[in-house]
Amino acid sequence: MVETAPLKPTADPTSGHTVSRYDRELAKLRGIILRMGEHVIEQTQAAVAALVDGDESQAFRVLDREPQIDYLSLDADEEVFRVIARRQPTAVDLRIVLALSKIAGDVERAGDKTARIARQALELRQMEKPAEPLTEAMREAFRRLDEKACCMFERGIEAVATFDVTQSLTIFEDEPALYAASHEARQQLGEQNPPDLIPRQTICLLTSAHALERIGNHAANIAEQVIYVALGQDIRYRNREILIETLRHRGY
Amino acid sequence: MSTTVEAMGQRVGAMSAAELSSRPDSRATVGDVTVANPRMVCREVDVWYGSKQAIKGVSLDIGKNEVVSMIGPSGCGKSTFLRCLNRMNDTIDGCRVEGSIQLDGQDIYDKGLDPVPLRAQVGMVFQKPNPFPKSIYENVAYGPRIHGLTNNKAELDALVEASLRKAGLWNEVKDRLDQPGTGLSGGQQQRLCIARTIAVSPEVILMDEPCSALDPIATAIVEELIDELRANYSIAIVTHSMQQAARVSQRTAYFHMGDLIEVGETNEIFTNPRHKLTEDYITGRFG
Amino acid sequence: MNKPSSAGAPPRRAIDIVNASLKRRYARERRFRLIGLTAVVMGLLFVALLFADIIGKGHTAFQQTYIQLPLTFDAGLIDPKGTRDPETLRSANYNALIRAALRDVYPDVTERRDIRALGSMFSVGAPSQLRDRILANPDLIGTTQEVWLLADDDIDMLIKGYIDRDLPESERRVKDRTVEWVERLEAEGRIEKRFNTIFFTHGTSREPELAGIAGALMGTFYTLVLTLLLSFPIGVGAAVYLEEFAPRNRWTDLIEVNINNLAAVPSVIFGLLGLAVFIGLFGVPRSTPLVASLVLSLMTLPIMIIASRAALKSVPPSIREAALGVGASPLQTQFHHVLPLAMPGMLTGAIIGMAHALGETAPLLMIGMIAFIVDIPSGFTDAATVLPVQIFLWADSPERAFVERTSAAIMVLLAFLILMNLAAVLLRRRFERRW
Repeated sequence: MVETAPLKPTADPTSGHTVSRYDRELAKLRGIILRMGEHVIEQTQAAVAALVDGDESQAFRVLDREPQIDYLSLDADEEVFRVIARRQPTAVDLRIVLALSKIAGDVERAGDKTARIARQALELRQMEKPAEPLTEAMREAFRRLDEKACCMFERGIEAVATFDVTQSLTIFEDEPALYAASHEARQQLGEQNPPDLIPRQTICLLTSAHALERIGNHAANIAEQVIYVALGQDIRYRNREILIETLRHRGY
Repeated sequence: MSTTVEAMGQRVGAMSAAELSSRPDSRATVGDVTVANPRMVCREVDVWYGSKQAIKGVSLDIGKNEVVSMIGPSGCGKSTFLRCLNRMNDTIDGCRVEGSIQLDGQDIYDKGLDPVPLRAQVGMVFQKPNPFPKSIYENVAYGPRIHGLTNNKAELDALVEASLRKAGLWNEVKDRLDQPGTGLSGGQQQRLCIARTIAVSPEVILMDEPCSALDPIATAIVEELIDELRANYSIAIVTHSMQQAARVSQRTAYFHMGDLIEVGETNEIFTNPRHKLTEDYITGRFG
Repeated sequence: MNKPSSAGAPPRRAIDIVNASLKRRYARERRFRLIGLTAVVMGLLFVALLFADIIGKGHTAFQQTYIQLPLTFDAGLIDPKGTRDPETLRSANYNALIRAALRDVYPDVTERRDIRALGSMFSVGAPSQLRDRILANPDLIGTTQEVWLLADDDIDMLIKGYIDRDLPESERRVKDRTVEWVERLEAEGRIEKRFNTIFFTHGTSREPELAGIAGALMGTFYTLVLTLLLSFPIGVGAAVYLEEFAPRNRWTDLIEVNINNLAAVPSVIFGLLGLAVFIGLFGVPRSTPLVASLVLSLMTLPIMIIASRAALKSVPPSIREAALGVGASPLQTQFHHVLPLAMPGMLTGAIIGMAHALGETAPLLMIGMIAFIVDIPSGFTDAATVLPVQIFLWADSPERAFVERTSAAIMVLLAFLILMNLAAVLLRRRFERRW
């Protein structure tokens, strides 16, 4: 008799094609994105180090390496075109290709954000007054925000590696914490407004905090795409709490 | 972003529990087999060739003015099912059909029903273009003539012309109606067969891999024609080309080893099939 | 790729192995072709031998020896009363005319035995030859004409060289005196060979010079026409039913096996069947084309059915589907589409079946076709014989002159067979390109 099993979750939806080249092409596309993601995580950490600890060399390193992510995103786009033109993907393959294309965009923009933080770090210290613009409380707030954003992004990339719904859900669950950390950092800047910071420096710090929050948002976008691939449901713009509850209820 | 999430609260109804319910794993057909205004209604159709069951409890509606495509690996029973719809299987020895197949509310396997007029109502286009070895005119005129659809030569001429026009062949053959139909190109022959089928004013047209013997251009022309014919006929098409099913049909049915696995809107089937077998087949993981 | 792993030995590429075996393969192919060619050549050789033998023996039968005689149509002998009454003319003693003429030409022959020998130089048909002339033209009565009279078969054989003039008289059918006369006639130019119209216009006869194949040909014609009329519709009908309509079950399987077996039944059995059933049971007159065609129909039916079914099978099923698909009934499908396409094949089968029937002898011997029938039949119920039986009869006759007539009749039969097979080939060529 016909052995039929539920479609999801599969071990790896990109494998098992009759044409094994197809599998390899999809794996290659995914590999490019995973590499981009790793770069972004490294860059974020380096950029935040530059911002918080005033390590200029880190900031220059981030700016130097930023184009690598752009080049990889070009590679990813090319691979997407190639797969569509050659294989005319359908169903899960189509979703994978479309999702990976969008994920590549998100990762690439997250990479831009790291460059933005690095630039803010350099600018922050160009003004000679005061010697150290950041208070310890502010540093702490930025580290927390960075940790949250990085953690989400890392899990986002991991979720891409296996199209893991459960992993994606933890990202959604972390969103409130991200917003809280972001709020905390801004509050530090607004309420305790250090008198020795010139407005320009305040803007730099605000921009950086916003960029870190955006990196976390990109991670959530990636998670949305992962769920789209895995479940075939476009869950963007839906109420996150109810979504999480529903999916948890279904055993993810 | 946080405000956006809050604002989306009202949209929650858009995702129902059913939508996210666990994926089916039984042989029961996934998806809605019914349509709002059906032309043909098949319920629990079983087909046996001798002791071998070729179709297992298939239920499927064919709606008015829609193209239903049937896909599946070779030997999955899609052609067999198609040929049940105009009792073409009657000609095969040892073939037994059970269940109910209705055309406009009339059971076509009713004891008293004559399959000959049924086949005029449910026309068929075959895999290999099979014009009669007669003139183009005779090919189209044959059906109306044996059914007595026209009263005189002028009416027959008009019907032949109308049928050839509907099949998009008139301009290509109007100057050589007396030449043999077998002398046309493959694509033209297939359109001649379609013209021959629509000449007897069927309600449903069955197509059994109509483009498998045609080149891509001829295929495109026939697909365009299928889309035009949808305005007046119900069409069921069996095809091996998933792209073709995706292009021409509104609904798609996936058959696997005699079971109807999944039925759904073609858009849905080709972007997000709900059954693993369907997904595996259309993404090229087996078959 | 798979590499040869045998240590030490240099790696052999597949192409080397292929090349090594290539020579042997080609040699085997050449041998096979040679054997086939030999078989074909042998076959052709035997056919050529057969033809050469038959034509060599038979071609002389198309000529017949005539002897010229100055003959007085004596009114006293033919029409003593001068009434010119056809009845009188018909019953006159024409033999006496010939005898009188011989007396005039050979006045030195007086002995009774010699006079008879002289007379026997002419065919027993010679007087009727004269009668026919007189009946056609009564004005000849009273005149003297140089007439060409049919020679006896012995003289004919002598002229054609089949009787050796050097043999001692006792071993020869023609006596020395007769040879002498013939040589004299030859020297005088009074002996001539003419085209043998009698062979084509007369029925058979005890006298070879008067024997013809017209009766057998007409008998064959009537028999074959009736056989075709009987077996073709029945054969086609049976084939269509069995192939297209009959359900597949044990009965149809049995019928099928039996049809195939019937095609292999020795034909003489059909003759016995015809004798028992048609003649014995139904009282059909024996020795007639009617009963012959009934028997031959039985015999050709299996061939016809098998050929027709093969023709039906070769019609692509897509045509049937197409017809059924537009709503033609099964019968319409058959008659409008399948039969027209199968017809060339069926006709070919019919012609081959007819050719088979044309050459058949054994069953006809059983139903009295072997009777000696001189008259040319004029209908299906006249006693008749057919060509192969005629050949059989002549081959059995002791007269030397029948040998060449047998061969000539065989030539005619072969000509008809070749014509029929040619027709079959042409029919196929003409119609088979239709789809």
